[in-house]
Amino acid sequence: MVKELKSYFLTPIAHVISAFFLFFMALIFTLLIFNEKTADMRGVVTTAVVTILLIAPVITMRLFAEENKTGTIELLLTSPVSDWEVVFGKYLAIMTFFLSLVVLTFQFPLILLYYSSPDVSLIMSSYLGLILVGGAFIAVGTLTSSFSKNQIISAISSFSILLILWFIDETAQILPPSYSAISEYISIYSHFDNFIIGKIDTSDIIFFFSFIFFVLFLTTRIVESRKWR
Amino acid sequence: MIEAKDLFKNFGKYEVLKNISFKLNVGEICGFLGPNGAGKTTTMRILTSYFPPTSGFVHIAGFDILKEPHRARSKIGYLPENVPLYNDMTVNQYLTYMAKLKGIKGKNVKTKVEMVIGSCQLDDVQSKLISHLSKGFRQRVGLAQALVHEPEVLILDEPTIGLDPNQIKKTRELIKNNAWSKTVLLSTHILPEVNQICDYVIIIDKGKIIASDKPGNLGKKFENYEGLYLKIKAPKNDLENILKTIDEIKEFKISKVDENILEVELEAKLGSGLQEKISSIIVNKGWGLLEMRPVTADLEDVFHRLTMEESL
Repeated sequence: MVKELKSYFLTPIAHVISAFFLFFMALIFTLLIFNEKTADMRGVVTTAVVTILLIAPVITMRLFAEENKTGTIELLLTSPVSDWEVVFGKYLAIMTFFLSLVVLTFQFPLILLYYSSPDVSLIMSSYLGLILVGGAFIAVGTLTSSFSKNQIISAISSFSILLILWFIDETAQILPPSYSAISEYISIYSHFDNFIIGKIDTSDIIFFFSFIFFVLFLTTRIVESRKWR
Repeated sequence: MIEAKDLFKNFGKYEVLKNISFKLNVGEICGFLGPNGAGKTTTMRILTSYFPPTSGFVHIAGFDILKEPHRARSKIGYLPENVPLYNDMTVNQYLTYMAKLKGIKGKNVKTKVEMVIGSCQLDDVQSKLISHLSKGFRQRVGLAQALVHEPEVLILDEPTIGLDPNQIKKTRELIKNNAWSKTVLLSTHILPEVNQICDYVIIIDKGKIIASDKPGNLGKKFENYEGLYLKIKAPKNDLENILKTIDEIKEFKISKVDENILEVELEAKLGSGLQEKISSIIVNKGWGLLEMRPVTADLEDVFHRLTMEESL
């Protein structure tokens, strides 16, 4: 995990993405404060989620694709570590990067707290939603990176899957009721929506943890697929 | 110690390995020879537990690679064919990472990395980025990562491929110097390399072991035949007609050196008294015998004959 994180910061991608993300968040925060004139972080966090949807494919695309391309995956998978440890280590590295971005945005609620009295529990539930959604997006990026040698293909696949998972609840209205329940359940947006209105539901938390675990399990199976090809 | 028993590997309908079995002991360096596509890399990947065999088993330093893959892997130093390295790391960073990945902990990491940097003569480049290294140094870094955890078994897939003669010499020395307490399996296409550093040779073709022995003993596989080299002053057609009538001769090749001077390479049944027979023919015909000597099969001949026989 540490190696992944270190090598990540050696590339310009991490710095460019951090700068882009923070600049964009600061811009949205300023605009919302001056336009809405309310001490509310919900708009900023929702924008952060959409931004993460865009950048998760980019920050995860090299995780396995690069190792597959250069052949270092062979060295990694013949070392005395399990495939699951490799997958989870890589996932944790990107999660650490993502969480450091989230921590850097804490300056915005702190500014609100200094000048006014915003609803702290609402801010906390929004942030919890942001972290869980980010975790789910990064898991999908880790998965798509594992089945390609090409980083661009990995990023495009990941972005397409994330878009589907984000908007799939829109299909609920045109699908038969039994299918619409499924599409609503697997929609990431419908689960995130509860957090943004301050409702922390255990079923939503279980959904995100199950989703992340399932996607990482799939990734491990893909990495293991060399064994039965 | 490496023990492979009854290994079979299928990729779909394609049978890549067919009943591979061998055993190598501590201190042995074994050359693994075979033409491209013979199954060398597949065998090595099974031995390193990169993927499992379709059937059969492998023991590495006493551990079954299927039942105890982690313990078996911790005993192996592996250098894949394309020398996979992280180009964005320095040599020291890379070796430190590999040492940790292979289970070395705490202060031992620094000690082991310093030791392997010394033994692989990487002191001058340890702070350089791997992307800035020459092919020879990259190969040495690859070998250093295989050695960093002092494994009992070393598996090297074409460790000298693409290197210049000086780099090849240094890499061979490095393997030999580090091999005394290990079991080493190295695949190569360079046959003199096997003669120089290997105690044992396994020749594989189309997924099957077709010969395995000490390099010096492999020629004995052809003990039933002996080679003979002749330099004769004689008319070519007459010589050719006479050689065709001698039953003991398995095959022969005549090439012209000069006006009436011919070179003949032939292979005959062992103990057929061919030298005597040919001498008397030459004397009776009044031809001139300029040179006659037996030819022994070297490893290159053995490899060529074995792999060609298989393809016939």
